[in-house]
Amino acid sequence: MYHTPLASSFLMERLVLWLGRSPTLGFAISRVAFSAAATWQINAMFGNETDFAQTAHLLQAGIWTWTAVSIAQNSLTPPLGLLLRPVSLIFDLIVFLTVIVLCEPLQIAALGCLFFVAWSASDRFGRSAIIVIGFCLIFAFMARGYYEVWTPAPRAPDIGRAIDNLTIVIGCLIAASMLSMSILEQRLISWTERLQGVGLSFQKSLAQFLVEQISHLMNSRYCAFVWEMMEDEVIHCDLIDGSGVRQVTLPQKQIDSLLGVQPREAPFLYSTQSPRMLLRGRIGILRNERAPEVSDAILDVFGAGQGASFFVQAGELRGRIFIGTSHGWSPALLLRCLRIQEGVDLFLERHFFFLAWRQRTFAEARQALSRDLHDSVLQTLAALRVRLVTAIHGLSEADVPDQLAELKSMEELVTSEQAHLRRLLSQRHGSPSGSAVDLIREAERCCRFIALQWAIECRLNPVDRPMIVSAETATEVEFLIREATANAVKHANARHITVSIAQADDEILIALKDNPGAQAQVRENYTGDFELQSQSIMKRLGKIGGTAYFHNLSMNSLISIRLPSSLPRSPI
Amino acid sequence: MMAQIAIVDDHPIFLDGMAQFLNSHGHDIIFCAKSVEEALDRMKSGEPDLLILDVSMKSGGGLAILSAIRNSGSTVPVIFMTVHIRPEQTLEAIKLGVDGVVLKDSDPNELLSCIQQVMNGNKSIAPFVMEQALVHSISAPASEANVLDVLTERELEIAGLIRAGLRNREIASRCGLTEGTVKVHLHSIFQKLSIKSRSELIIMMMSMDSDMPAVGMEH
Repeated sequence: MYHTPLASSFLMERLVLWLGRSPTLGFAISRVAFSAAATWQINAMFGNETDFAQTAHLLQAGIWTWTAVSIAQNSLTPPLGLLLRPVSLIFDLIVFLTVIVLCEPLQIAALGCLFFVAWSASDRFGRSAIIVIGFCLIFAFMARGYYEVWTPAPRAPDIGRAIDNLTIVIGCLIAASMLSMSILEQRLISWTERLQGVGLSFQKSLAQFLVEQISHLMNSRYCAFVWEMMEDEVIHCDLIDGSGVRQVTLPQKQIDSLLGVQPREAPFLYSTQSPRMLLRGRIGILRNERAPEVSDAILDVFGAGQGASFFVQAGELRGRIFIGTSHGWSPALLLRCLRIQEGVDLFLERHFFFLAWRQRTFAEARQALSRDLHDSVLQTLAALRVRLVTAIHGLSEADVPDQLAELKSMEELVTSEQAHLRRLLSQRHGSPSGSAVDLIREAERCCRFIALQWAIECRLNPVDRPMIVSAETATEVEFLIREATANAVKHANARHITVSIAQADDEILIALKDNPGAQAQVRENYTGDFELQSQSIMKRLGKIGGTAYFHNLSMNSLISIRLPSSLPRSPI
Repeated sequence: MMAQIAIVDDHPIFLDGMAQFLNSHGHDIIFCAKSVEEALDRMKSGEPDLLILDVSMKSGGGLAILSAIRNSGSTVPVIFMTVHIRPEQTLEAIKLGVDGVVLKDSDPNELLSCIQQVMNGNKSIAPFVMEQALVHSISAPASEANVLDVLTERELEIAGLIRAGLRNREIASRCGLTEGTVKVHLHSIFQKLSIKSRSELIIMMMSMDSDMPAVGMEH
């Protein structure tokens, strides 16, 4: 019981899809109805005249053959299908116009069928085809006065009713087709609007979200998105089919075939049974092109069947979407693909805009926070320094050399930290990114500061020549030396630290050795090398592509750090 | 020369420390204020020989106080003592007649010599601050707003339409071009501005309109 509404709803859904997306089904049913009406009409006209019996049979056979051929030619693939389609449409036009001129009882049914001819011609040749058909129709109506309409005997009432019924069927088909077209159009519009409303609010990856949405809209067998980011050499493929959404790894040959389609931006229809693809030229005329490698790649990756594909480009993302459909070689599908392509492009542009705006807002907030923090710390340090200078001034005439020395040492520490912060702020706000500094000079200054800060001996192994790096790299090195020293002092009670810096190839190597001094104790066991446990150092190195190890030596410890000379570009 | 000094700063530790420091060097602190309103209120009861103001405070900070007292006709010497002053603020302060600018992280003795200079009727602005202001005054007009000067008129028109949210097809019909030509112009705009997407272009143009610093767009 519960299945009945579901089944009817499913059936309605299918009917809307089949009638609305292209004129093929509506036209096929109308042809059959028209042929049946024509058969009865021929019987009515020639049934009582034995002389014309053979002619009547021939006419009936001709009409049904024409109907069968016209329906069957829809399943032909290019180039034959593409060549036969205009011929068939012209023949249809001639037949229906002739009926309008010569056979009054069938003229309404023929007019109905002309609607489908016009729809098909519009799909095939563009909207100007409708104007041509309109003119032909006017000429046909004008021609009716010049020919004697063939109405021999009065129609039998039951045949008249039957023809009227079939005419009504054709009329209903036209109405249903137009309604279905309107429903599908509305669906496409609301789908596009919903897509634009999504912004950044989806849980899955962008590509998977897209294939899901398109697959749902097109009711497709599969939908795949083969894409890349321009600066990234990796090609991705996200696929949705009966087994769900997943990422697929494609061999390079198939990637080249799937992404190397020319012309790149035109949507095209494909069939794995044909080595040709169907697309529109610059002026909108359908044409077919041989692309056997594309068909082969599609067959290998997505399986047999027909489908459509269109190009997607927004910002740095570019790729191609493949939709497995059960459509024939319907030009209407190409138009639909164009609409979807526009919607997807708009969605991606909006998505990337929101993303960039969000990143920018976060970056600004981070900068504002960082500026406030630095300002606050600088204010406090300035206050401390002023108080220290006041205290030093007050004690300068008293005989307290130890206290004075301690206060002066503290002032030096504060001054050094102020200078460090000022330099960081200047780098961030003032000096151009990538300005060069001498790393050795910066490291020496850093070692002096560390010695004051922790009241330890900290010195840099002398280096003969300057080591010029970017200011950002120097800041990273200083951070790493500070953190590593703090760890060594706090956790290993290091008192004498020697820092060595070297540059080899594109890497900077830093070694911090804890020299135990005169009371060195030989360790009993050599416990080997470990990756450094400091989260702050490892996190920082992880971002810039460096490594750090802790070596437990027999007499002392060694921390070795490696980082690239040129830091990776920040995304913001 | 000893002076009667008023200090205005919203950072209490610094305010106390500065008052102690100046006192210890023989200056007389006639009042310390922690806000713009308090400072202007205290100024009504009598002017000091010298005002030391912080720039970064609520209600306009030191610039608001300087502007108010200059508008009231006062010629009391003013020194800005601040952690950070933007070049445009320095230029504004010079226009309003500031006598000295000292950075808080400089040696406190620099403040003493600045006070001395100002009390002698001279100007004393920290070289670093002056340098930044000079660089800004030379390069500012050619900064963000003129980034678009590299674009041709047609490219500017297209960039404006992209900012308005139009698609290539709509731009093409509005400008009487083909969609392909619009794409070529767009490519040229991206290359000239060193950007990679319409989003970046829109954000760049919006940040120029709203006078916000363009983060991540190094031009």
